[in-house]
Amino acid sequence: MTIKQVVRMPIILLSILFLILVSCEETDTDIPIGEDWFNLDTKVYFTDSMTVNVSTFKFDSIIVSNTDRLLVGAYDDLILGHTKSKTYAQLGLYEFDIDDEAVYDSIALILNYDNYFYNDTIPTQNLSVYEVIEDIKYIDDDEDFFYNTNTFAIDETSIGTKSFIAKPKKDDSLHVTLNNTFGKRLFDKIIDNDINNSDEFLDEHKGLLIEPDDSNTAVLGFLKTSFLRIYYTIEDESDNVEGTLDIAFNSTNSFHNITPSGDSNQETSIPSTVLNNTSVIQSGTGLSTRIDIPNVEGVYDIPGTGTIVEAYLKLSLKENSSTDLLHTRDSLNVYIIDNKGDVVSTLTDYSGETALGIIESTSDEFNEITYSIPVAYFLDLKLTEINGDELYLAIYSQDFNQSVDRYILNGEDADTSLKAKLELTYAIYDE
Amino acid sequence: MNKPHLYTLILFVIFTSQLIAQTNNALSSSPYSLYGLGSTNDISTGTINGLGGFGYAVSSNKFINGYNPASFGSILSNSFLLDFGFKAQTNILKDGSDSSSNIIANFSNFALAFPLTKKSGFGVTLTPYTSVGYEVNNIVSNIEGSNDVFYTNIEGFGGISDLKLNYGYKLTDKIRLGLTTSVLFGQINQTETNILPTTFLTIEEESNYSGFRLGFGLQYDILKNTSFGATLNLPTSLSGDKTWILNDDVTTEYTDDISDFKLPLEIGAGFQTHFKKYFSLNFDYKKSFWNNTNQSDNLGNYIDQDFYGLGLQYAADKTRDGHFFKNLEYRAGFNYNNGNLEISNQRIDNYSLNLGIGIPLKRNRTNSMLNVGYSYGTKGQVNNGLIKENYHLLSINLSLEDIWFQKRKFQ
Repeated sequence: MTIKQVVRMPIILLSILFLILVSCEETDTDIPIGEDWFNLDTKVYFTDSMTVNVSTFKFDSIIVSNTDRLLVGAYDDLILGHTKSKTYAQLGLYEFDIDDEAVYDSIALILNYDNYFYNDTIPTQNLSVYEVIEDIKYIDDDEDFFYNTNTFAIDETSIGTKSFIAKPKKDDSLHVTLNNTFGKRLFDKIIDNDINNSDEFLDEHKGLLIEPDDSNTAVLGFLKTSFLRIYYTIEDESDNVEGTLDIAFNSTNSFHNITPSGDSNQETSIPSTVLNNTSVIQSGTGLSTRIDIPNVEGVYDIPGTGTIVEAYLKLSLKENSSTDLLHTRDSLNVYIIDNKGDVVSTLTDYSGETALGIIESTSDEFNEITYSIPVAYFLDLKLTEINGDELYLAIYSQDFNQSVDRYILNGEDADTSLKAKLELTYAIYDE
Repeated sequence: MNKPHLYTLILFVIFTSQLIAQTNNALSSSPYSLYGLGSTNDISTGTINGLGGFGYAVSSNKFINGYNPASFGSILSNSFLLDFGFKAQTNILKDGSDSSSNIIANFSNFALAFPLTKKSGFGVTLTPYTSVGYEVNNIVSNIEGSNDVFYTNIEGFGGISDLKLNYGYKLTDKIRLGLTTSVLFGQINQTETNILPTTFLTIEEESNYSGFRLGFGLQYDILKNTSFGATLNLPTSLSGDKTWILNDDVTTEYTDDISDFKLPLEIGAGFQTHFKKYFSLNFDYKKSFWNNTNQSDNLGNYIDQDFYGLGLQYAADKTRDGHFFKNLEYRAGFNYNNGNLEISNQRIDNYSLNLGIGIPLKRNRTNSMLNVGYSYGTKGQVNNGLIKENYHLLSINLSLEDIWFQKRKFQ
């Protein structure tokens, strides 16, 4: 055997042996002990003292097209004052063949209840119906929206009034009898073939305004399947046949006008410190709570390089402000807005999922309700965006364009443990 | 290039890539490897592992002695040396009330050496310089500003590799001088999982270090049977950068330079003497001047460290027809160092007992040998909340010699 062979053999054998050994390597390095003397580099800080400025502002107008319901009603609130919603409805007639022998009986507005209502339905509610005398159409030709502030001219003479006890849960609909002058006029034009198509109908009848009395105590939701019904009779030699003609709401061109309260506007917000340490939210009228976190950069004062681990904005309802009548919901919508109050985006978490304010804790006994809003993504945005210091949060109610729910929130200086605050967890990983 | 050398080259590539790849796995299983760059590698080439861990005065005429570059001046003409190392270690950890154990096995070194001229030799060694492997669970820390706590699990792995280029020159028959250049490089990884009351924060840290180091060696044969050896390793700094990868709701990456890790001036010296024909004794001392690096870890300071090594070998003449056990080499050693880290005013010292056997691989004129070493050691202590770590360490070194440039007709 040559030396070369001698050397070659063990190398080949050994390389196999080594590769086997290395690939069989076992590493079981779990050391359950020794944590006592280990000094961790990572430091975690918690603070709830970062400045939060809570204020109230009002969107100049909100889009009320394509809502699921139409709101009619009014209520008074000690804090917000008077809120009123009236509904403009355009109608459409698509059936024009009525027996020439038909005789007009009566006319009624059938309002189908939606299951939404707000405040007190026990007292008697009143509403009046008027004829609109101008075309119900988008005010701005460039936009396909109705706003909560849009109004249309009406004939000041009411064509019907109704006093009633609202039973939106029990009843399917509200029946409002309108006056026969109005009903007979429409009926005759149809019978006389003055109205042969929907355009001719709209020329004759532009629409209805359904307006509550200011003294009403509730806002009621009605479906867009509501309609106008004409009752007539066809006289026969042996028997009289009764018939109806339904004139439906045009769901696109029917909307509610909600009269706002308060004197804030979109670009001027009222600090909670001058509003009895509260801020408000009211859907329908555009009232929102604005949150400014002006000193996020303060986290950089902690020495070292770190990261926001968690950040929750805690907003509590003013004690006893949420009642059975003036009820609140389990979650709040949150948007990111700029310094003009324009919406930049919805608030999301890091994965792009919409983030809501969710009820974190409630105490029924003390009527304590706190919403928790995850804002870590928003704070990172403020720290990284060029105009980050001009970003704010706007807190809305759910159903922002089709309800009139109101929330009274504690401000940052409220004299309670339930004041508005930011709970921030920050970790330093590189000292 | 003839075939065996081609194999050698292929193996070098395989083992080099293995070693570098292994730095991504745990090469250590010591909680003390948390500190600094990890646990310093205590495994060497050839017979050294059975002789107290050092051999400043030992020549490289039979195997590669990576401890002193001057020894490369003593490589025999036409000799080509190779060394593959493997280690297996089991640790038993105690911290007073609890104990646990683990096992780890891995490749530990590759080395080759050959003469350049009749008076000089060159060699390359690739060894782990440090290795990191730990897992510490349930560290409880306060969340500052609240009454809550968070729990942390930490896992670390990786290490620094040391690629040494050694040059030895035989000044006279008695004096050899050496120069060594170390290329130090590697990555240390740590994964930290922080469990907060309502969320998690995972921090992965990748620290890359690299640097060069120069060293000098001297060997002097004082008497016919007694040699003196000394080395000087210059202080150096390993520069590094660190990447943090944070995972909570989102993954963030952040890279920053980190402060250099300073390696101290190291001076080592030792004697080796042969007596009663078959016996040799070596005594070695090394001092690492950590004080001058002014470094501290997050819990302890780095302080000057003393190493002592003592080794005894019995190696009878090898005979072609001799009894198997008569042809073996027998070694015993002792090693002590007082540690370079002081935690809670306690030094993490380390001592170990070594036993070794050298098994000649072939009955021929080469010095190829399988060296098996066993060490039992202890590190730290149970007092003051520290951990005491007892370990059994098995090392296997395949030290091969090939004879180059020898014509077949002479065999």
